[in-house]
Amino acid sequence: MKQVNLIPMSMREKIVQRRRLRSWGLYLSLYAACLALAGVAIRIGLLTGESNVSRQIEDEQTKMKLVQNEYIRDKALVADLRRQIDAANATGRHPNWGLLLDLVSQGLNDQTVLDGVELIRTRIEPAKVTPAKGSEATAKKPPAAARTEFTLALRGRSQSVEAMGHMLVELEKCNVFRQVKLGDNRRVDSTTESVIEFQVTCILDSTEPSPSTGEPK
Amino acid sequence: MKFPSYVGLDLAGRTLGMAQLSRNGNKFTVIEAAMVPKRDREAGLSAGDAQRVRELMANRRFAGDRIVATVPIDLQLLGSFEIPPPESGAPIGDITRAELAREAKVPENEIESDWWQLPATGKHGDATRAIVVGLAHDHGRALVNTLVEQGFEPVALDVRGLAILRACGHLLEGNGRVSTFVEIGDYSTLTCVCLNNTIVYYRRVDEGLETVIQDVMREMNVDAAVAEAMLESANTASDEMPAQVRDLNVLINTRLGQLAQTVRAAIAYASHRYPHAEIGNILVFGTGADALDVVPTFNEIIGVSLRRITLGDVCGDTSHPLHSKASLIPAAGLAMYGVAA
Repeated sequence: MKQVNLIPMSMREKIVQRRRLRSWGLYLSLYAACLALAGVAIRIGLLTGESNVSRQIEDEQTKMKLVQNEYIRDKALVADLRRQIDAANATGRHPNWGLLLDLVSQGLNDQTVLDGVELIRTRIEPAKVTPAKGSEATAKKPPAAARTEFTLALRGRSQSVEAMGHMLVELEKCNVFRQVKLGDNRRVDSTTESVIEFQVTCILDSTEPSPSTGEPK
Repeated sequence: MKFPSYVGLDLAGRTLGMAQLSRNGNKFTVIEAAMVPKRDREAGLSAGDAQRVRELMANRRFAGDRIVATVPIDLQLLGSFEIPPPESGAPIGDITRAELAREAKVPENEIESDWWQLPATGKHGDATRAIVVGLAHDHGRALVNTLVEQGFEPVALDVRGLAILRACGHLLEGNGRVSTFVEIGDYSTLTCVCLNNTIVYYRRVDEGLETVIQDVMREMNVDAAVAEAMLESANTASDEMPAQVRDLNVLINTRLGQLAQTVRAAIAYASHRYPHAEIGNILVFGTGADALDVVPTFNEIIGVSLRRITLGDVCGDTSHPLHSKASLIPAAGLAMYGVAA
């Protein structure tokens, strides 16, 4: 069927151009809107991602702080325990020398006084033993450990030789010393009295003191 | 999904007719149709009426702003000329435009024109002829600019007869028959004789419903509103009608008889030109067909089966409230522009 259009050709072209312009405007607007939406979506996504990372960093930082606090607490605990150990080592593992002095004082009499007491610690290395050839028993023995020997050096005065002797006897009787030996002694006369100055060395039994009690055997 | 057609805008007469359709197989569904009384009786479309159309479209179910309008019948240039045979390769478009411009006495480059070839008569020695339609550029620009200023996108300015043929062509008897459609408008009556869906004769007389109203006003000495009311009552009058109404009917039938004579003359011309073609049916519509009972008078004078058709008949859709309007057929044909086969 015949179809005519009597719009002037020049106007038809303008109308088509206007329509195209409007279509392009519409498409561009839609495109811009889509881009804007996509941008917003990406931005939202990034923000969400950033917030997630931030939250993770905060979580990790919190965990790190907790671990650091635990470390500090544990460190303090370790230091405290170490102090306790040191204290225990300083107190518990040493002989209770007070008991020894108590024993020594019990051996004194009213005519004898001590001017000085000195405890001397001596490390005694084990003697090197050359094992005999073919001796299995000797070969199997572990090497002897070094031992510590304590010597109590007493310095004092006594009014009489008997009193000094009595003191020596009492020291021997207490079964603490392996050896009680009278050292230098001499009579000293002064204007008021006459005394005997003496030195006694008492060698303690070399057995190690018990760590549990700290007392020498 | 049904896509809406362009909005068909009929500019003729006292009322602007508008229609928008959607195609549904061989039928059309009326999406929206409306009639807007024109305020300005100038040829074409005034800015005020275009604004009213714009407002109406915004408030109704019209979709889009692409419009196909009729070329106002007063501004349309029309001619029938001999043309070289199309197979000769001659620039028939240029030739017909030149002929039309010469006849209309306008510069050749100042008109837009188109043409269609008439069917061969079968008579030995008859030249090839074409009907040429055209519109002066000034009028076309003014009409397009008026529409563009209101935000419309004018798709086409169509020829009224072709728009009507597009709408009611399927109701015309084809197969070599000479069928006719008659539009009784407000100010004019258009008669198009068709052969095999081609308009072969195009006749317009400046008599229409308004002429009848003027007759009534003059003879009955009443104003226009009363005259229109009298025409409505004349349609519903019975045999026991008062003498004044009988006189009115005589007056109406006299004028309708004159119009029928022009239709008969047009058919006679086509029959003479195409002597081998039988006479087909006649379809009548338009504001005159809405206001007047034209069928009996036309039948009596022409002597051919005549049928009044409406918007519902051409679309096959009677769901719209205005489906019974015979004056919306041109608007429907315009809406079918680019859609109908």
